[in-house]
Amino acid sequence: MIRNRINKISWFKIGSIVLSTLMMVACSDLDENPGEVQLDPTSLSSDAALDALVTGMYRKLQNNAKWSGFFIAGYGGDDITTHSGSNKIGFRHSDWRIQTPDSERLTDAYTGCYNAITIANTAIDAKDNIKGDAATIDRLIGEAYFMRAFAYLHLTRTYGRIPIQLKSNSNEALLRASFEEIYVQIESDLKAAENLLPNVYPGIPAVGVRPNKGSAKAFLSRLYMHWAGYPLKDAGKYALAAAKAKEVIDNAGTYGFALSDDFRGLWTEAGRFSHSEGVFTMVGCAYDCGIGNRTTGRLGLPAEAGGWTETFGEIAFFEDFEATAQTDGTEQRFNDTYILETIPNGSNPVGAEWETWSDPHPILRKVVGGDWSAVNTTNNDINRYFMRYAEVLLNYAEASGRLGNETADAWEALNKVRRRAGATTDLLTGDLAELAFTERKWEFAGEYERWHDLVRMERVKEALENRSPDETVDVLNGTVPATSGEYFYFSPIPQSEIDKAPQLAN
Amino acid sequence: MKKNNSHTRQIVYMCMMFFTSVCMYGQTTITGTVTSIEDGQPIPGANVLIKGTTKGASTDFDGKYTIEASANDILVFSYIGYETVEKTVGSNSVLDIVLKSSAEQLDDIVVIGYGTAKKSDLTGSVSTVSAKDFEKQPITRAEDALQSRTAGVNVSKNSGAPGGNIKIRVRGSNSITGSNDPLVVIDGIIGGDLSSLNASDIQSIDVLKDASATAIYGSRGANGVVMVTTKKGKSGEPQINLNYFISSAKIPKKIDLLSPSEFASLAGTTVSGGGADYQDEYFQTALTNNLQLSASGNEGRLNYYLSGNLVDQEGIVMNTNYKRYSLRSNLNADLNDKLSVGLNIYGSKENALNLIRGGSGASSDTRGGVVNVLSFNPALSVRDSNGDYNLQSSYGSILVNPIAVQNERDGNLVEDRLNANLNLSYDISESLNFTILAGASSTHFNEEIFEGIPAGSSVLEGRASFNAIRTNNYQLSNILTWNKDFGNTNLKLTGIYELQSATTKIANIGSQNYAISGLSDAFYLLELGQTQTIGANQVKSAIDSYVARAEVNVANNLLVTGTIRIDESSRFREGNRTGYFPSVSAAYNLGQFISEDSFINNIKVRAGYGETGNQNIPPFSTYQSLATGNNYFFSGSSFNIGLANGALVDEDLTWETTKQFNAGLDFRLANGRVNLSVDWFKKNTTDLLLDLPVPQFNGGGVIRTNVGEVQNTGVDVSLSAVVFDTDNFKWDANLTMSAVSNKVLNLGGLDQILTRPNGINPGGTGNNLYIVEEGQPLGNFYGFSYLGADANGVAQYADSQGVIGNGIPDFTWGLNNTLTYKNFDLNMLFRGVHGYDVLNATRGMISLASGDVTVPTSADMLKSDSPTSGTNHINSTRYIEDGSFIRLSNLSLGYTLPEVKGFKSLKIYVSAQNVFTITDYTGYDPEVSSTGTSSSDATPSLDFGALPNPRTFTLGVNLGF
Repeated sequence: MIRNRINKISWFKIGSIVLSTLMMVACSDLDENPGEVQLDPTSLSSDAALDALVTGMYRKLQNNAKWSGFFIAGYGGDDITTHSGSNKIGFRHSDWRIQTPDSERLTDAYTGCYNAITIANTAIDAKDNIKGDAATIDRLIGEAYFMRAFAYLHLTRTYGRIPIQLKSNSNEALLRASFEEIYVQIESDLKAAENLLPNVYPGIPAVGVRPNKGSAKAFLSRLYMHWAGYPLKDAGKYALAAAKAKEVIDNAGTYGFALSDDFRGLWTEAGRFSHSEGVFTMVGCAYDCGIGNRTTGRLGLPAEAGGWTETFGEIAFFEDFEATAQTDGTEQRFNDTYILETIPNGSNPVGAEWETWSDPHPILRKVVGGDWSAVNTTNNDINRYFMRYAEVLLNYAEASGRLGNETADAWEALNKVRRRAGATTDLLTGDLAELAFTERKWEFAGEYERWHDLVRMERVKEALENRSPDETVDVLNGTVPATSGEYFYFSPIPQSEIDKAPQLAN
Repeated sequence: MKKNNSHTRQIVYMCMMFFTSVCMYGQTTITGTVTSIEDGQPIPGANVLIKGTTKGASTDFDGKYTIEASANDILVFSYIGYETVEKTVGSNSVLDIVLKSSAEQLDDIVVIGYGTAKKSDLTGSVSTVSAKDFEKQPITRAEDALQSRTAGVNVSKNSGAPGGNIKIRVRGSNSITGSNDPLVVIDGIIGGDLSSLNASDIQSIDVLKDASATAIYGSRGANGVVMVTTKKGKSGEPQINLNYFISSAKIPKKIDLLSPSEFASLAGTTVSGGGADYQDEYFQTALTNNLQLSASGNEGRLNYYLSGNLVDQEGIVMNTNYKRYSLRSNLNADLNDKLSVGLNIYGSKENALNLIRGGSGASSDTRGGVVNVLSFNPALSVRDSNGDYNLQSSYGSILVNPIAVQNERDGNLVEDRLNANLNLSYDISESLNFTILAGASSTHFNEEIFEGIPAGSSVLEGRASFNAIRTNNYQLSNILTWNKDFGNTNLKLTGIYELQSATTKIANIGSQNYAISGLSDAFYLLELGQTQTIGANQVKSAIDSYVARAEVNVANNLLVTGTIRIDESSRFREGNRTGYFPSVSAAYNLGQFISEDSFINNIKVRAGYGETGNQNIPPFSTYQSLATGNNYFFSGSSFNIGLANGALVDEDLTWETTKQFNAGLDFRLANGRVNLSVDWFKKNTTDLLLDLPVPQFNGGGVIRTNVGEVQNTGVDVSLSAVVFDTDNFKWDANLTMSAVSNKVLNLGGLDQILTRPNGINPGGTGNNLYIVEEGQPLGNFYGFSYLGADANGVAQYADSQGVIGNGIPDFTWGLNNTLTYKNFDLNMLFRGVHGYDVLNATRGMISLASGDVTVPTSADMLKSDSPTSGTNHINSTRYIEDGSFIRLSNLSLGYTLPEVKGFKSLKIYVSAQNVFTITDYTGYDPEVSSTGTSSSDATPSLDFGALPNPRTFTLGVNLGF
């Protein structure tokens, strides 16, 4: 009995203590409030938010496109070579077309493009939920379509068949699409962009920094040039390539495109915005933002000039270029493409004396810079042109030639580029298609475009066989250039991505 | 007092004389004083019990007791920390008892979470280290106390950087990409930090290993629980101790490199400025000063322990340093018979200079640091003839001169902590106790970093950053304990309601492209940078918990414990938020079946099962976001704000659950001189919080989801013995051994995950270095089989990649010996780690050109079988090495001076750590890794410029006043 009473008393005490404690502390708030510190995806509902997302899309592309690795396929061209050793092996693998999925430098193009695509997908998915100025929304959504197309085109030009993801927030295991599917998708996106983008993109320092309607048309012409060539070889697409290029040329004033008078100035920091030749251009902000172009400057110089020996000119190409320039009277362009004078860096070697260097190769002025402002930098504000207006002209000339439609306008398009290069006599007869194809070779030397021309015309083998006997033999690594192989035309998808999605191996 | 005693004695004698004849067999009043043999001081609160009855008394503040007993009765005198003494009353009426303190007895109390238990009553698996186990080794960190002294607990010092992170694993690795760090509980407060703790304040560390022990911590218990108990004042006269030691540390060895002239001839260059030995330039002999002052005692109802500690430790890398200042006040007061209150306050300030990524790297650029030191052109002097740095070279490493980077770096990590916890205990009745434990801790962490010459492949201008992180943690535990005897059965019930919350606020600013050049320490002049980055964030989490435990003890033979914890965590969404973590365990003493004169005194059989969880993911893990910080510059001169997609999320994310079965045997042999414990465990972790890599076409990065299962099985053995025990010579030995085998049972449909440690990319290929595969253990290296060099010196490899090694040790052991001869004591701690490989990427980077190294620097280049060309796959069998090692971790010799005037005690000692290491590993140290400590279990044992643990010599003195 007594025990019962004690228990009663103690239970009463416990009860009141526990109760008071509970009342004192209550419960924690266990619902997270992410909106407090992070942006919810549903906040993507205004034109301002869309603007920020589209801005981020550029940054994600730039994060990788600022590196030479983004243009890894371009090292396969006969215009560009690299150094055999150190961390340049990945470039060499592409240069000699001996890449494997494990090769270095394979991820930049893959990562940069898909990161931009992921954001473009989010923007396009959100387009119906966005409130604000209709013209602004159209422009930004048009830009997202353009970027998605640009990225898929860069991907397929680099890796061939790649998976297509158009949905946001999806984690499905995609297979590699067919070339047909890829091209159709790029065409569809570029047409959407063509429809939505304005003639003139507002608020940019020079045309091409952001795309306009003309940029979309110009990229359609590039797409059709590829479509007509290897691997699908749908020759009918030359007509579309010519037509789209012609639309740009006929309305060049509307879109603000023109050839620059100062070819060399295109690759200077001072002249980066003082021309209208960029159809789509990546700008740098090295000095004010700390983020710039890392494909130019010092890395195009030899060790003798304190350089990184990353991107050089190939010898045979250089010699052919020099000979052609003398014949055509285009020495001005030749001199704007290569550095032959004294280089004011390192031990001040003379460009023309490249044969005496430890890694004997000509120096590309387009890489080192049109003036010396970036000569000792690895992060600068030289523009990277994804496409110049000159390509539109040459697409038109070549496509017309391939169609057998050698109009005066088509010849004029070719001659405009030649005249700017210094030629004083116009070409009016001959094989227009081949003349334009060769013109591209010189015009875009060192801009990572030559390789894609060689692929679409299936001329890789002959171009690579045209090697100078002076060209480096890679004793160091015991490797020689390939003449065929699984990855001869298209680079392999990087192993690290196959690891994550094994279905990409097929 | 003395007078009182004699007075009492007189009366007692008179009474004795009077009653002897008449009350021979009646009850007598027995009195006496219980004192301690060490200091002769009375022991208050000691128990006096008539054997075989529940009748007893306890001593008062003067150590005196009174009890009614008959001549045949046996009185049992006991007190925590002292050996129990039994005396037959006989004709005595005064029994003065001197108790001998017993380390063994003291250890018998084990902290089990929300309470304590006698070691003999344990049903689960708990390893204990107490101060006496590590006080012979001069240590500055609590982790050092644990290393090799606890079976089943693997402590690896991944870095030789002072203040660097230390990896602790309890019984293997559960989580593939999540954290495998054990939970740290300091004086009952969950989520403590061992690195900032003053090791001298530690009374004991109890590691809860099996699920029946850890389930009481539910969702945070899966990786084991490290329970730290700090010191309290002991009874008796106030004690003042001053301990000081000074250490000198050096790298244990140097890597054999080409001489300047050998390198120059290999590279086809010339020696400039005499070249340099970059290892000598980079590493230094580092001094440590450790000063510890403490005062403790017990005055009436108040018990106190006060301490202050200063550690000033130079790093073995030039221009690195670690300082820690700490103060502790542990106060306990018995306000009355029922109510006691304790307040522990600990404040510390840590200041680390140029500690990078918790010590796992030595440079802000992962390619830099030690790798760059070893690969930088040895034919080029550090400075040119004008005294300016030779910043870059085309030969060797093309990265910026590591000496310049390290010299011009001023990276300060300042961490201030203040922990306070209040313990209120009220005995509601004899059997019922209510305790409130309230803890608050705040941490202020500042990173103030200036890099005068930033690491990297380009010579860049100086840059600075300033990051401020402030964390507040609160815990409130309400603990109700009911403890009752029913005949020979004891039942103890515990109920707990606990709330915990944590908030972290972060601000960071970075600045570069300074308008004015020549600034140093420009983290206070960030506003002068023309390129600035800013950010702010807040991270919050909370857990509410309900816990119940029942402990039954039947006649000290059968012991059963059951627990359940219910946790509700804010990290998961409603519906997935509540976790139930049950456990049950039992033990049975076979001692009753063993004859008393047997060599075996007792065998205890234990078995238990429990489920625990892991919720260690960042807050907001289930919410998608738009990522900031993706600004772009259409103008070419200023930023526009840009956003990007956040990572994909799994909204249904929930606990990772570990189910563990444990069975153990405890042997007590040779009258307690030898104790052996053997535990076998099997634990399966399911619903892993796994970061699955997302293909780039779906956005890349990872998605954190619950898939897969990992199994760990193993055996822990702990053997302690008093090898010799004579008057002058005593030898205590303690051997711990652990074997763990780990296997991935399921990856949620994936065959394999290939991975590499975040941000670490030796050779620049971006290739994966590790593979997680079904049916295989974690930590498998993935790469190429090296086939040697061909006739032209070209490195050859097998075509396909596969598993080339495993980085997780199979077997670890520690042997701690303490020998005492008269006033000398000698401590030797040996440890062994066996059955694992290390990917020596450091050697890889200097053995063939690759990545940022144009010409290799290793002396191996002179060997005829070394390849001179070809691809240098870092992840190849060429660089996989057996990491197994045996090390004399500590060797200390101490001498306690007899009777020095003015001192209660005076001891001097010399000591050495990392005295020698027996290993086939060719790098600096097989124990270190560059991959961090918290979640590196899929990517362990990668030496990519990891900082070695130094060899240390110490001279110390301990003074007692």
